[in-house]
Amino acid sequence: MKRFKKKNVKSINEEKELIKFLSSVALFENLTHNERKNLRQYIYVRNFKAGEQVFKRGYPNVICYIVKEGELNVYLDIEDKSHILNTLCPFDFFGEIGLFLDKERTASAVAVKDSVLLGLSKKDLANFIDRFPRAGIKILYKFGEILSEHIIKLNKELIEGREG
Amino acid sequence: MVIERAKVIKWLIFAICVALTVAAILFYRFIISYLIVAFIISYLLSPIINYAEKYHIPRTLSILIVYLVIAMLIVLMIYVVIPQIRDQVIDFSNNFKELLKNPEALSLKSLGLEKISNSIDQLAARFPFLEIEKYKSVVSGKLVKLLEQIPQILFKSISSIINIFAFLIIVPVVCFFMLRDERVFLRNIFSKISNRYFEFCLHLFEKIEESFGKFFRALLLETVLVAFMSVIGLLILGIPYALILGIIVGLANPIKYFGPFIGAVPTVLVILIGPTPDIYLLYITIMFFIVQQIDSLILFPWLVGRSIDMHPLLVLLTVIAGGYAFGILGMLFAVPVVFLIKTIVQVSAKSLKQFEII
Repeated sequence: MKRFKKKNVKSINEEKELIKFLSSVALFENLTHNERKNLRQYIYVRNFKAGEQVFKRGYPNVICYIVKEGELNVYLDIEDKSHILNTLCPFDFFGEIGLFLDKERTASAVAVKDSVLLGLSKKDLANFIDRFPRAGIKILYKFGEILSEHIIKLNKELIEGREG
Repeated sequence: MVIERAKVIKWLIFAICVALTVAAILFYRFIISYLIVAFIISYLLSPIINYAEKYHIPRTLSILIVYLVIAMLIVLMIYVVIPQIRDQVIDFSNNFKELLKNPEALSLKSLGLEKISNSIDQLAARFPFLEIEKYKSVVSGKLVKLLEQIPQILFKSISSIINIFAFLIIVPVVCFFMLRDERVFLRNIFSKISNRYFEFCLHLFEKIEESFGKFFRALLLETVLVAFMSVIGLLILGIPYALILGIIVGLANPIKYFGPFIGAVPTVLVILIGPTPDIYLLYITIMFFIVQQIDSLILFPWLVGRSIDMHPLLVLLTVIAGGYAFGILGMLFAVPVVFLIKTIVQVSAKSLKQFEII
């Protein structure tokens, strides 16, 4: 009984920590506590060991990940050479294209350190938006904001590249 | 000879796992059917609960409300519908017994098939060595026995009270937890899958849910609606035993191609045997035709959206094969089961390649 209780307390703490973590992810920062609790129901927690492949280029794009702990590399294999495109740290998300388009993965991802990822699939996001439209709109708005910023950044880089 | 120890241990553990699984299935075999029923019910109810969640009604509350509604429907059934069905069944079986008392009544003549009866008589007259009379009596004797057993079988299966009691307690309780903690169950199942296969399994699950789940839910709703329309049609025409006959029509409806005909057989028999004038055969044919047209032109496109992705010929052969193997129930479940397997195979073949597992 005691052991059971201990385990229970641990898992409750883990849940609390996870929901707290969600509030510090840019994507979900506008959500209320209850909305985050509801969102948590749709999130898969995945543990990856260092060196483990998360996905490869060409896989169906079913799920978007948010880095909770650890470090990952996003890379592209071009002619037997892997080019690292991006290094992901906690609070970053990747695979978001799959939430909007039915496209295959455009790059591969591998865990550099032991990592904990939170997965949210396209279908679950659709279900979440359907069931909690207010919270869903907040997430989508934030998505638009982040992607717009990304475009501005890319545009800047493009202009700088031309000038330089 | 050196046998690799690790391999032996691996196989041993595998064998133990298989043995444990088999033992568990044997141990829980009485419960498994309940679990399946509970799963199907919660699968059907889950859209309602999810819809309620949209309006900030907590899951527990909405499940309880749905249970209350169902309980009220059951009470209504017990007080209004069941006595009627019981009366109708008893009436029906009494009529049959009356019929069976004089064997002449059940001869082909009484079923209105005089021509066939006449031709058989002619046959007997022409070829006396065939001893057709003997066959006739054997066949009608068997038929009589079979018909006498029907009410008994019905009541026997109903009267196993303990079973029903267990059913009434287990199914709602399991349903409740399945509905309330739907996501938790799902997450727990997926958390057991290793990283390599996680995305593949999720993809497979979502695809199957998409194509089969929708189809299955729509099919059940369609059954209910067709039964409802048939009952109303039969009541309007004033056919006796309208309730049972209509429900049979609805239940047989999901059987592709044959369903409407199988479902109509009891109605036709009731009209032929009972006091209803034979002209009603024409009326019910028209009525069933209208119901079928409403079903296939309005209900099916509305509920299922598009026809299932199976060639009509394959559907036809599947229904016939199901009928050969498991009778009417086989005909009913053959197409959904084959469709499910086909979907699983198709989707997994494609995504196994995409995920570079094979």
